[in-house]
Amino acid sequence: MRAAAFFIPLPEPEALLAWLDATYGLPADLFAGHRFWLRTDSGTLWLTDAGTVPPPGVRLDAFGLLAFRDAPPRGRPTNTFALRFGAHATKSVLELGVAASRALLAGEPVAVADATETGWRIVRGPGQVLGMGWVAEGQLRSELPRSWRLDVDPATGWPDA
Amino acid sequence: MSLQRYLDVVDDADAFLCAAERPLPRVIWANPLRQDPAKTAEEVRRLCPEAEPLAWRPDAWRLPPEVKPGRWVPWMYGRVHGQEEASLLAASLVDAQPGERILDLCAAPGGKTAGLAVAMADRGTLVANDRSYGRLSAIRRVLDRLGVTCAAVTCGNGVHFPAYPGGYDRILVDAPCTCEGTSRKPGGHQDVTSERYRRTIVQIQTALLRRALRLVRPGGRVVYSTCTYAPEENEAVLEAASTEPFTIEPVVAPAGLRLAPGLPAWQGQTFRPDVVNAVRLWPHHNDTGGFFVAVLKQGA
Repeated sequence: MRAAAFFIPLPEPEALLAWLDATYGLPADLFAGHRFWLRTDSGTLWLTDAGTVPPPGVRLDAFGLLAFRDAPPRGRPTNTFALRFGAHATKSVLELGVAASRALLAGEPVAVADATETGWRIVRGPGQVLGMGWVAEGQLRSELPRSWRLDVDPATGWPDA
Repeated sequence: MSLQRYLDVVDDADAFLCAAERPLPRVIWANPLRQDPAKTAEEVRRLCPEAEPLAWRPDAWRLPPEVKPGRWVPWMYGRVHGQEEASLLAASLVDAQPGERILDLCAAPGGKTAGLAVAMADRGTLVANDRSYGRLSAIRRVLDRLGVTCAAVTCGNGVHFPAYPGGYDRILVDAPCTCEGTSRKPGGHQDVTSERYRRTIVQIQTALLRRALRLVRPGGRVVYSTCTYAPEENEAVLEAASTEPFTIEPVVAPAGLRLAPGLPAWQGQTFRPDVVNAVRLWPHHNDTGGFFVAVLKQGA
C-alpha cells in the first residue's frame, strides 16, 4: 500500500497561469472556474473544478485531472490537459490535416517541414485536439499513449474527403 | 442454471431464460464535456448508421452487438462512452445536480461514476471510492478519457467510509453482488451461484447501505443498486437496513422502459411495504441486463 497522497492548493498559481498564457496563449480566465493542486509526495500538478473539496479521512488516489507530471518549465502539459483546454490555445500549436492526423494516430512519423522551432506542441486535427507532440528536425513525434495506437482505428476519426 | 429459482416471480419464464442467454446490445452515450452532443450524434450516425437512439435518452444509442465502438477515434477521445442500458438507468436515478457533493461508494470500473460527473456538468465534488486498489486505475482511465475534473478517486472500505462534514447530498451504493444479471455479457455470470457466497455478500451489502444512510445529509438521496435478481440481495437488504430511517421513493419509468416493481415477499419472508417502489429490470422486458434499483430518501 502506498502512503496517503496529500494534495494542497498550488502555492502561487499565478506563475503557472502566466506560463500557460506565455507558452500556449491559454488566458488565465479560461481557468477561472478551476483550481490547481500540488500533490506533495510526487510534485505532480492537478486541476479540479473550483468547487471540488477533498474528502477528509480517506486515501486519495487521484484528485481531478492530472495536468502536469512535472511542473513547468521543465514539464509539459499532459495529454488529458491538452484535450480539455487545447482548443483555446493560440501559440505552440500544430494543425494537421486528415491524412497527417490519421498517420499520427497510427504511430507513423509525420513530416512537418514548416515547423522549424524544436519543442512541444499542442497538436490539433480537423475539428479536434489530438494531444501533445514533440517537433524536432522537421518531424512530429507522437506523445500519445502507445496503447491508443493499438486500440484505435484511425479511419474512424474523419470522413474520407 | 441458477436462474431457475426466479421462474415463479417472472412473468414469462421462457422469454426470460432465452433473453438471459442472448448477447447484450451495446449502448453508448455522448459526453457533453468533450463536444456538443449534436456533433457527436453526427459522428455516431456516420460510423454506425444502424445506431438507434434510446427513447428515454436521445443522447444515447443502441448499437448492434458486432459493432466495436472501443476502436473509434470518438471513443479514444472521450466523446462517447459505453455503458449498459440498465446501468445507465441506475446512474440517472441518482439525479445528480451541478455543484453537489456526491459519493459513489463502490465505483469501479467507473461507468456510473462517469454518468454522475456528466450530470453534475463537472461541477462540485464527486467522490469515486472503491475498496480494491487494483480497480481504481479503471475508474481513473474512464475519468481521464472523458476529461472530468470534479472527481476524487479514493481507496477505502465503504463499510467504514469517513463522514463528510454536513453529509453528502446523494450517494450511490452500486453494491458488490452475485452478478446474476450479467449473464448476457462476455465473461459475465454463467455458473450456479454459491449460496454460501450469497450469505456473505448480503452482510456486506447491508453494511454498505447502512453506512450510506449515515453518510448522506438529512433528507438526502441514497440509490441502492445491484446487477442481480435475487431478492435476498435486494429487497431483503432494504429490509435489513431498516435500522436506519429511510423511505423508498417511487420511480417513474422513463419513456420506452418497462420496470417491474419490487417483490413484497420471497420464500416465506415478507418485506416492508414500500419495497414495491423499488424496480427490477428483467432482460426480456427491455433487452438489457438484469438490474435492481431502489431510490431511498434518508429520514423517517
